[in-house]
Amino acid sequence: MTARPVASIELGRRWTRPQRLAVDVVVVGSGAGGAMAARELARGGARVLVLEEGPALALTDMTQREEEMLPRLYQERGARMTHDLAVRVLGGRNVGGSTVHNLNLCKRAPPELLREWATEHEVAGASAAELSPAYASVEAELSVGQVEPARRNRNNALLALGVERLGWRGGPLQHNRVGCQGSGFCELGCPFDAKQNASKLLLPDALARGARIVSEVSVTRVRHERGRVTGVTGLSLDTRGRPQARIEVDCPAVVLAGSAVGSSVVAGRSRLPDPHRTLGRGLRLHPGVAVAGWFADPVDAHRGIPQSYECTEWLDFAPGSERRVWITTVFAHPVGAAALLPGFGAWHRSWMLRYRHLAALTAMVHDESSGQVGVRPDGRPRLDYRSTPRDLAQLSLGIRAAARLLLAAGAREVLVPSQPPHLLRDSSEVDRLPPEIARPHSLAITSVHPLGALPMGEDPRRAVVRSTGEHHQVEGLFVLDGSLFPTSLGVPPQLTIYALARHLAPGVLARLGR
Amino acid sequence: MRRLGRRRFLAWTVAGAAAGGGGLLVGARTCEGPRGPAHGLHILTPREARVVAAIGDRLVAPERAAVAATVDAMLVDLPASDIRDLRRLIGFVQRGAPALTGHPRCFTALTPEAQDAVLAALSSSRSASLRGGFEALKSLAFLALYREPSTWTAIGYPGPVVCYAR
Repeated sequence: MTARPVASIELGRRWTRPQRLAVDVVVVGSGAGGAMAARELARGGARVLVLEEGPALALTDMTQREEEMLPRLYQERGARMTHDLAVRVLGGRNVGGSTVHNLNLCKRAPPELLREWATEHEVAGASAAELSPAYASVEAELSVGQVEPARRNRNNALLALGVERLGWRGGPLQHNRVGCQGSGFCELGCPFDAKQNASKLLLPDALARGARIVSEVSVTRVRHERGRVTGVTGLSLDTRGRPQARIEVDCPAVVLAGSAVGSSVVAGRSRLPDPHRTLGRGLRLHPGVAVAGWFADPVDAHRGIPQSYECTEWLDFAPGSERRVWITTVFAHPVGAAALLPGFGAWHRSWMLRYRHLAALTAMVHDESSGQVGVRPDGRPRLDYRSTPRDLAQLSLGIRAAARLLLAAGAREVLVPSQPPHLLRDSSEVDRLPPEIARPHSLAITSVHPLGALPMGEDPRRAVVRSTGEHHQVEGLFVLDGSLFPTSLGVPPQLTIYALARHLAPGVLARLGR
Repeated sequence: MRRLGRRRFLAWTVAGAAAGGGGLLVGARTCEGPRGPAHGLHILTPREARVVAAIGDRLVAPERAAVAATVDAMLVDLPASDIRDLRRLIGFVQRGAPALTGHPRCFTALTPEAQDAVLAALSSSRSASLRGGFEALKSLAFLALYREPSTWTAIGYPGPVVCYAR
């Protein structure tokens, strides 16, 4: 095994004294958007500096141990919550960003959603046809392909069976993985280097083209004068994440690519002009809940490719749709599973003893609720998000649909991990679930796809950045990550983030006169 | 009960917990409980550790886990504000939470059944902060339990497929 990109990455922890640098463009963040932007800009001849807050991990750092990997890979050790503690929000914090821990799902944005972006949000140049070349390029580079049915683990096979028996719509998913060993630890990072992701493919390419990548540097703000970017200010971090030295970089362009949360926080700390109070608003979470089914035979959902099948029966993208639920499989290793199962003591233990026999589905809502990213006094993000009644109804719909799928697939018992928990043995009991099953705080709700908060669009009264990704009021400041999305995506976003960054990077080069 | 912090039962456990936010001071002299780890603590006081151990005992029952030591080790890398939040939470469970079930005594002085009732009350509280605090403690307790390879055989979990020198 090699530690290919790590060897060339500079470590911010070694910057123990103040630094002052000058480059053409700073890219803040190294996930799907940042890595693609860095590579494209370096390919265009720009002097690129990538600053990543998290560490650079080698393959040998991927120990497949939950207690070690979750703090290494995730923001706030995997426990970031919305301000009201209703939703857990996961995001990557390492070189490669969330592409290091995600489950490799690759799905293009639905064309009807991109039409809505154009008609309702005045996004120009991002129709399905206009994005198609970028999508195709990314899909080829990341070796995107369908997971063969023979490689489907039993958790996913049960979902497929439930879909078939109910006559619902569903199908296999596309992935970016090559040489997958099927160990089932994707969310803890892949020690086999099978993920065709930002850290494996794009960042090494960017380095080869002259880009510099520095880990463990937290960008605190973008500097700007008279409507133009002049640089960034940041802090190098020690091995425990504590600030140690001030970093100043002079540059005429900055690309924010630190995720919907991270980019918005940097923008929020930068005193950017915000005449229409759009900055940080429009946060979407794609909130999801998990439902578990207990089967007579072992499921061993912790083994194999975690997600390879989807149910789209309850998902369409027509305006005002009341079918906004995407269902796929989900599972966790013991520490995570124990946290998700309700209760404690002997009752909880009785469910943990069924660990091998549990299948689980997640229902994610293509949300219309709009939250806000702010900055707390200590500089950390503050996420305000309240689900609308319509979204809660969709969450409830998703719980019921997931329960029906599990029962149709043969589950002896279905556990809805609400407070109090509900145990269901047949579909009539699904019908009797209380209407308020999805009320706030009654369920463990998780977001793995936070999006928006620096949305794009041509109308500066509604959008922070133009359709080019450039800030409406500050020349040279670009956003090239999931913050751009003016709505939720309703499907996994990584492919669209890669593609949008590739699609929009030429505009950054043009701003630099290249 | 002093005001519970609106937020932040801090966010630091590996499994999604958030803890903190309580309001009462920890460990009054009349609240000696079962013996907990007193040596080798980095952050927690022995009294705080005893409360955490008592909470953990009930959460992971009938199993056993070094919950106090796990919590203490995890606190080392956390910001002071998060440590303060957790201290408040521990204090609240010890001194304030028993009142939720009508008990005038400290948590560590209650019977196991009464302790379970207090924890159940926290888990179903109308207060998001209290529920968040409960989830934090629960996540930490199960982290302490299920991080141990010795617990995996019973649940049928084979563990990592890679093995590095530790």
